[in-house]
Amino acid sequence: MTTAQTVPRAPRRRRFSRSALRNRLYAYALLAPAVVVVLLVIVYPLVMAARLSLHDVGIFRVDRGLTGEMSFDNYEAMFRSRAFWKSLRITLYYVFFGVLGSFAVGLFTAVLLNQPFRGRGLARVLMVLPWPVPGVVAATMFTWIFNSSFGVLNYLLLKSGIVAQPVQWFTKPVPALVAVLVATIWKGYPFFTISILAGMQSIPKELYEAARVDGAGPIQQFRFITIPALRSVIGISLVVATLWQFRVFDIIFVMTGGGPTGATETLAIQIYREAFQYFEMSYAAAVGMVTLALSVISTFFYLRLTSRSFY
Amino acid sequence: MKQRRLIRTLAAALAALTIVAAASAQTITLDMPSWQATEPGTSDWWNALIAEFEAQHPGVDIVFTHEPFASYNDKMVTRFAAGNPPDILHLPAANFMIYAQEGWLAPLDERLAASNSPVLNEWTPVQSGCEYEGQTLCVIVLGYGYVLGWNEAAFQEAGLSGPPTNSAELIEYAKRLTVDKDGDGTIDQYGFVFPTVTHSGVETHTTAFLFEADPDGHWVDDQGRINRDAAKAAWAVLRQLVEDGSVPLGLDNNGKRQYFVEGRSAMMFEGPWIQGNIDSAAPEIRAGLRVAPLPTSGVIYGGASNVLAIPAGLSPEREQLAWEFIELFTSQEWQSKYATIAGQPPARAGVLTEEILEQNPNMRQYVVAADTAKDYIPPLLAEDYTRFRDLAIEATLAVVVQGADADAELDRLQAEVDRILR
Amino acid sequence: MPRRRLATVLLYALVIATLVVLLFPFYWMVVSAIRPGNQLLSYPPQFFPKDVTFEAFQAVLRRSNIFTWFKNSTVVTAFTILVAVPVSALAGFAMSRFRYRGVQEAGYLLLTARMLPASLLIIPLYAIFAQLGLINNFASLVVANTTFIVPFGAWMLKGFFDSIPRDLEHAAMIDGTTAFMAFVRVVVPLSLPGLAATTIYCAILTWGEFVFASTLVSGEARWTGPIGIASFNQQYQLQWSEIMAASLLFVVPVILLFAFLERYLVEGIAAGGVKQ
Repeated sequence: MTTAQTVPRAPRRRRFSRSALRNRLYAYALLAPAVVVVLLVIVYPLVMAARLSLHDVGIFRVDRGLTGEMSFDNYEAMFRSRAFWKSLRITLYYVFFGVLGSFAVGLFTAVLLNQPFRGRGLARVLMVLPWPVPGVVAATMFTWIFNSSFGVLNYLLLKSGIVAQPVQWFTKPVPALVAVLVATIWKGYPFFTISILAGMQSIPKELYEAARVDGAGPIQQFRFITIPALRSVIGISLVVATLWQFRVFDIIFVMTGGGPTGATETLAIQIYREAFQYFEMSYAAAVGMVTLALSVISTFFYLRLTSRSFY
Repeated sequence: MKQRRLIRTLAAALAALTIVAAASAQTITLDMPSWQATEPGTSDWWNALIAEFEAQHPGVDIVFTHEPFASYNDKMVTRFAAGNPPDILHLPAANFMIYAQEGWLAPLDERLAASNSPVLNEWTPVQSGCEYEGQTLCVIVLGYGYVLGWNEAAFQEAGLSGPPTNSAELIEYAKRLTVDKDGDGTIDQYGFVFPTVTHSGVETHTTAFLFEADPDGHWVDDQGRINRDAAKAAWAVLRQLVEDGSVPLGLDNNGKRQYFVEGRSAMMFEGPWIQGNIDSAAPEIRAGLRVAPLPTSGVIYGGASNVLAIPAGLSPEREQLAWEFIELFTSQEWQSKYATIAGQPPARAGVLTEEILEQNPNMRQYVVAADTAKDYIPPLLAEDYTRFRDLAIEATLAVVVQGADADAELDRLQAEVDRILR
Repeated sequence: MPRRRLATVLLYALVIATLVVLLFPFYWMVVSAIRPGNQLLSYPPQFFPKDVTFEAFQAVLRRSNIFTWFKNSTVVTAFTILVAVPVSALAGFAMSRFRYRGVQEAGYLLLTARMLPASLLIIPLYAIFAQLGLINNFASLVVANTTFIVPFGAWMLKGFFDSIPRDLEHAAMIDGTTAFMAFVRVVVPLSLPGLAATTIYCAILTWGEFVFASTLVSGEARWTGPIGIASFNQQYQLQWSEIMAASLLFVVPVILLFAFLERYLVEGIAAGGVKQ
């Protein structure tokens, strides 16, 4: 039984031959539609956002473009702003725990749903029901569930004796962040469930059988076969989930508006505020560049971590 | 013979076609987005007004499209910034300033003067909020004053004869109205309710009590100094309500309304749109819901709710038509219909007859509140009001809900205000 | 074999317990939709409500344009899937099979599409589409959504293609098929789980997308579901039960799509071709 090794580099001796050139063009042609669409739509906004952050513009007006001197004033103001550093800290907590939570729940449910049992198809469909619920609707729902006086969560917590007093979910900083994380994880885990479940289908059964013959228990099989095989799927899922988490807006804005006292004001919320409530779009762009930088860093981090191919 | 008839028929057909072509060539569609296009009450009034306008202007069609409220301003700003504004701008008043600052609105002074418009002298006092750098850039559609919604049935059960008239009474009554009806340890009815999360509405209540404490002053004086005593007095009222346990915590404005409408809160502050909330209550609760003046010793919190404006840069023809729409809107007939169809106090003074006032028992209250309202926007901070509002909200929550020190918060707020005004 | 039976029972118990915990908010949505709108705050919470009314569903089905919203959402989603999934597959294949300069970099570049918050994108994007004359045209939504789906789809499918040995394509090419047809005829069928997952992802994202659908397109005739649902949120009133009812109805088509695609998330379709 042969499995493909890591793809070899194009052999040296063929580098300048016509068929190598045709190969390259073929590769670029395959990539072209994706790159064209994405660049067409994204490059202009990205470049505009970067330039915007170096000017002093209230509203980015297409008819006026960007004139005036370029300066790092916005960045200076940002790094000196207490609100920015607080928001950065909150964002890091939010992204870290949100992605971790979604990943954990997603992995758990995927493993569960990969076992053979009757009604599995139905269970799979049910398990991912939170995904298509609009973020605003889910947030509104959780706002009532977490209501300190009449919410069902406090009712259950009180009844079961876990707490003695109703938890003030939205008026204290840490509970507010927890509430927002719960709603986010609820919306976020089905993505991992589906991705990991799909990834698991590519793992040949023979590997598990061979391991079982060798005496490996289910946990060892999981550690040494499942997880390594899922490396690339997990990697890209973590990347995409993290990128999403940095940009989440609806859920937080509806549930807490970024409060109380900035306890849930992530960078995404702050960017919206500065851009569309205070109309300081240059400053918002600067904060946006920070988000971009964080996104780039996490992307490289995850992809490097999980890039070793299993096959 | 046949040929002549043929020619005559052809000529007639040609003539008919020409007329049709000419007519359709003259059809102008005016783009008017609004968040009220499907709102119960107001949408009926808008649709009737638009139908009347179209009847008076054959060949002109107003396309009245609904845009969801939460994202309304984002979309309008995007359209203006990208150079694609609508033809008639209907706008929440709170968003007006940025359009004025960017020069996106056509000045209306000449037209108002030339038509001797009622807007000049017979309009709601908050119309002054439509002025920017000496020019009138919008017309107020709804100017309001806040009222007190109170549950008479709950009051009677608590042995209270009537609504409170000042903050001290509010505190006392709220305490008495907070009851655990079935003895299970949970409070079933709170005396009062106000938003305690980071959403607009928190600062409303602070400002209302600030006005009571200092009827002639505002958040900041004309030197930019925060009115510390009044702010502390206002916060003290709210803090007392929280400490007494008379208010549920963790709600936004929607939660506030839901509590009142379900009889879970005996009182709430709201604008004249409270009528819609009252109408949506279950019949047995609705029967007991009343409206009274705000319990702030006669100083009424208020402002402008929404405005009409004409985007700058329209073709002269479209601008003229947009203006004529606004003119129709200001007419006696349509202003009084704002009360009868939309159920809200009209912006134009003196259009309501006794009959109309009799139809809706609360209308008189709404009108009085609107006429005597004090605008919530501090004059010096009009251009940066949104930022100030958010700072005021956070300071309020810190003091009122988390028990922070009022002076420390005021120091911080003053520092921010100084930075804004620099 | 009692041990196996115990394991099965435990498995079922675990599945049910997980479903109950994870789906509880969903259940609460259903309960909220069938309760009268002025009874949200009854305490203690009624897990099995006494006063049930389908008023909200009736209001949504009869008095709102929910079918128009469905139609629009379906059109946008269907076209997005038709564009985004193949484009992702092509890109993913290139990233998997070719290690030339620029291929990996292009892959990373694709991801930048997802790195800026919507607040900063919306004005430039509106301007671009206005230039292209695509405002109020669903094509702008298809393009915008594709932009955000392709990065994930390409990388996801790259992973799947990586697990399929090149020998299979080479074998097909020796027989005379072109490289591209080998891709279509050999590799694609073996990647069904990955394609299914990408399609689901594409459907869910497009179906629930709000920011672009609200900004790039105007008018109730062109509303997609999320905009329609948002319209129940008035300035001074929240039509609570209608929002829940409309959302529940709105979720159904995507769930049906997922139920249809679920059969492809099965082992054996992919691994079957690997056996030597």
